[in-house]
Amino acid sequence: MQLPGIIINSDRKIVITRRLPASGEVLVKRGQQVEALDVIARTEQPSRYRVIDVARQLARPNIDMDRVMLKAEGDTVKANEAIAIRGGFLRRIVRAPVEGHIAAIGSGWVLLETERTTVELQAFINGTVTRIIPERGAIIESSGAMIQAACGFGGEAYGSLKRLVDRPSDLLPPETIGENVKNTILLGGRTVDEETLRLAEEAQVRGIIVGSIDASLLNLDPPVRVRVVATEGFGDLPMSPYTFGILATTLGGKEIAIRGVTPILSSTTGKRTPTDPPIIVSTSRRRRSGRTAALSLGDTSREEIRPGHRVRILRGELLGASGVVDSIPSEPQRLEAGLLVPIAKIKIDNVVYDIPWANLEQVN
Amino acid sequence: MTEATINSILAVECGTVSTSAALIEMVDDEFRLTATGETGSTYDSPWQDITIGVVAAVRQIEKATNRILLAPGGWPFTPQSNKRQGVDAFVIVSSAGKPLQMTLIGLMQDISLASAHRAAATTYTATGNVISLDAALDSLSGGASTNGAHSAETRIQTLQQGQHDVILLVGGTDGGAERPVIEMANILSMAMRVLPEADRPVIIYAGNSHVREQVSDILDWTGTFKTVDNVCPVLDRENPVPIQTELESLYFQQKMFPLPGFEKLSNWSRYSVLPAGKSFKKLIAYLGQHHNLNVIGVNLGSGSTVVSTQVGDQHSTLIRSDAGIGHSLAALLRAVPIDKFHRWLPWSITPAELHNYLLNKSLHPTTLPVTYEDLMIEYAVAREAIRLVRDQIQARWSSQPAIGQQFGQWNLVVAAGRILTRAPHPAHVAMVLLDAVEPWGITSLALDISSTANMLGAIAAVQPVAAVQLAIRDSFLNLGTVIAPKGHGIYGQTALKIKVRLQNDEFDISPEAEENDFSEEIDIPYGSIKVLPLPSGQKATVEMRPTRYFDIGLGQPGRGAVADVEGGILGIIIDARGRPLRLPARDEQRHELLGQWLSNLDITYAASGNNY
Repeated sequence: MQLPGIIINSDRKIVITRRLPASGEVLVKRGQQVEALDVIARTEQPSRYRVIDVARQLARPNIDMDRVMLKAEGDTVKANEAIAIRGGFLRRIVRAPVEGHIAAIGSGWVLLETERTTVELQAFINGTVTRIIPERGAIIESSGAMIQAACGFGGEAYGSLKRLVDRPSDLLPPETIGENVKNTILLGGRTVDEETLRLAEEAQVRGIIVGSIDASLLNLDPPVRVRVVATEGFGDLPMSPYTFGILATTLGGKEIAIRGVTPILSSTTGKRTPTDPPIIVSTSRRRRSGRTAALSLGDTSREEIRPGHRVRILRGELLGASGVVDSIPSEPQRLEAGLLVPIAKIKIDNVVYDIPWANLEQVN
Repeated sequence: MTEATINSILAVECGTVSTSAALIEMVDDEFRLTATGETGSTYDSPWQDITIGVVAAVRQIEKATNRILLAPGGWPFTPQSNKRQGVDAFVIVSSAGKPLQMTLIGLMQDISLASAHRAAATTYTATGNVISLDAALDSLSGGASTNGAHSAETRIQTLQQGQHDVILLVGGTDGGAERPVIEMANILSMAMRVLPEADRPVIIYAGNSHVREQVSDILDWTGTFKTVDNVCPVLDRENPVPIQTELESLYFQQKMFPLPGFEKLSNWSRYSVLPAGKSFKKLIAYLGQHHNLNVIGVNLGSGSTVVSTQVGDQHSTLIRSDAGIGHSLAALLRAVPIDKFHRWLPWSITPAELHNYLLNKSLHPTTLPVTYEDLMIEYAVAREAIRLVRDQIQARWSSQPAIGQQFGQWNLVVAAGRILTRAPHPAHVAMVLLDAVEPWGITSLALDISSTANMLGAIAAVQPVAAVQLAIRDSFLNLGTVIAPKGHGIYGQTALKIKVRLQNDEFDISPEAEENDFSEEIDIPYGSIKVLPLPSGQKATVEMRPTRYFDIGLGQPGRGAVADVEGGILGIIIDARGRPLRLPARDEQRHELLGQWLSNLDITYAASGNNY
């Protein structure tokens, strides 16, 4: 039997796809070494428009636009500049109400783009560009640690990881947030509250990693500028000791990148939003020859689950906990809820638990 | 093969979470369900091939029946070559995959847009944005963002930033409004001009047919433009079929066929794959029309909830892809306030804790409830998903006063979906149905215990007799008969008196039924639920005398009746909690009542002490 997988790994070859939200310019070449904060692609997205009703202003409902337009699509116009004209006895001129450039010309109308926003895409990891995605971005390879998280908010951040708690079940103490945390990513334990987040924002903390977040933090007003990643989920859950161990020992003090997002929520808004998963990545600046197989998001092992394999629990009191498969009974077992389902026996800290097969994922 | 030569059918259903298979064969001149198999769906990681799950489910059937159904390559042997090998027909239904993301553009929210929304809701679509000339469209979009009465610039921006596979442009009856339709087409054209070609969605025009050519002139350049007949040709008549056909075809092209392995699977059958919602709709329409019953079917899935009704010759089906209890739970949480889920839980938990819990469930939608509390939370979600869709269907019926009056007075409630069919006790299912559907009068409850409800419509398309015989004999578990008066009174005071007389002319009275003393008239107090055991197959005559505030569906409150009812696995359930159902606002009182109702149905509430 197989299971869906999650990546929690301290040293593997990593492949990341970086993609602009719209067509733009790719600034790197195949084979190029990049660092996490390097801008690898850029685009300008229209953020405001004005519609100019040329037909109405020229008092001609079925006007031939080719005959009256003085400007073409893509032209830049200044405020008050003439864009269309109707000659003859009753000469009329249509002028641009504001500065902009002409995005589209339709039958009787002109769409003037009045504002653009520049979107820059950073590399996110240190590594080598192995493929260019024309006009959109690139695929970057490296090696290091990758931890797939459960949820988060705020977006991406990069900085050195600073541990502020001793145990994965500890709360992030507000008093530890002082001047020495500026531009860092904090490793908290269990969870973080709004007060601590505001303090972190004031101290110019770039990001926070915790076990869980309360759903109310997703809609803070005003929004907090600190990026937050939760490794286990929503609520008040401790971080898995396994994940905490990798973060605290392998990555402590190192430069890491985090992505605080919750794709299940952004996909319900009806808006075009990125659906890349929340992750924590640490890659070395030095180039290394990777002997291990490449690991990219979405990759999962197709291996049959056997005793000794590491798994993560997805529901119930042990949500987020990681353990190893002790045995796989051949007969289904009845849960407290009354359901008769296939289970696996999972050992966590020398205690064996019966966990429904459906509530497990394989740790890759 | 012709109907006459089809004597064995293998049917499979590929759902968002699970894949099931059923073998139907001729046994003693009758089609019977011989065996079923079920496994997890495998279109996603790590399998990435939908046929792996199909093969695994069919292998279970092969093992159980000691037959060979699949060739070494995985596809079914058809037709049946001998008693032990192959089947005559292989049919597929599916609800796997994501819904079509749709944006609706129109003029008036309660006319053409409402018609378009109703037409689109019969297939797996999710309405993201609604753009109209008049006000917001909350009631239709179920929490989706709305953009009524905005400037052209705002509309362009919404269209440009929107996530949509299809944009449906409607508006104007035939010969009606023209200029606003052209204006909307122009806005849409402008928005498409600034979208990269690869990001342009399909645009379907189903508005005023008199301006179809002009609209085509404006939008044809996009390369993705199509027209169909007006969805609302005259004010009091809708024409939903052309839109439904077009959307269904798009759903297949854009959502089903790209699923890993789906094309291979569809090539294994000579019959078209049927969307599960459409197959379920056919079943409910058949049950209503053939047996002359008012029927409501509820089908709870991980990605969507389907409610289908048949009242007389009127049919209505609604598929909400934002009301599933797993994969679309996050969307359901946007459409339904958390307090509504919270009110069904008989223990203390804060709405914030419940919200966090449900978000975790939506992160891992295929997980199973472990504790009793997990189970109760799943059923709270099930209740609200059904209620959301039921309310929307009820709003449709209310526009037809003659039929609208009958809404809720169902003869039969059919329940399907894994969350219900795998319930540890049938009483859980009955409680969910009573709370969510709120049937009143006299109603039978049927549970799709064989998980074949979604397949029956597809089976009927190749062998109608098999579908009919399966529906009658094997597909459903009769949970029992509900007697539920409408109205309200004072808690504890009599709502109705009931006298039950067993009919023993055809059946032996079962020991359980005999143990009950049915000779006396029973007082049923308002606010209570009572169960009278009456096993499946046994019949009884029930004499009902409601008090003056309660109506059991005979025209006016207080009017009594005598009716013949049939037993079921639960028996006769007398639900005297009143209709519409009211839950106490105070937590302690509500918890006590919810616990009491569960124990009346023989479900003992046993807290495991979990904290969420």
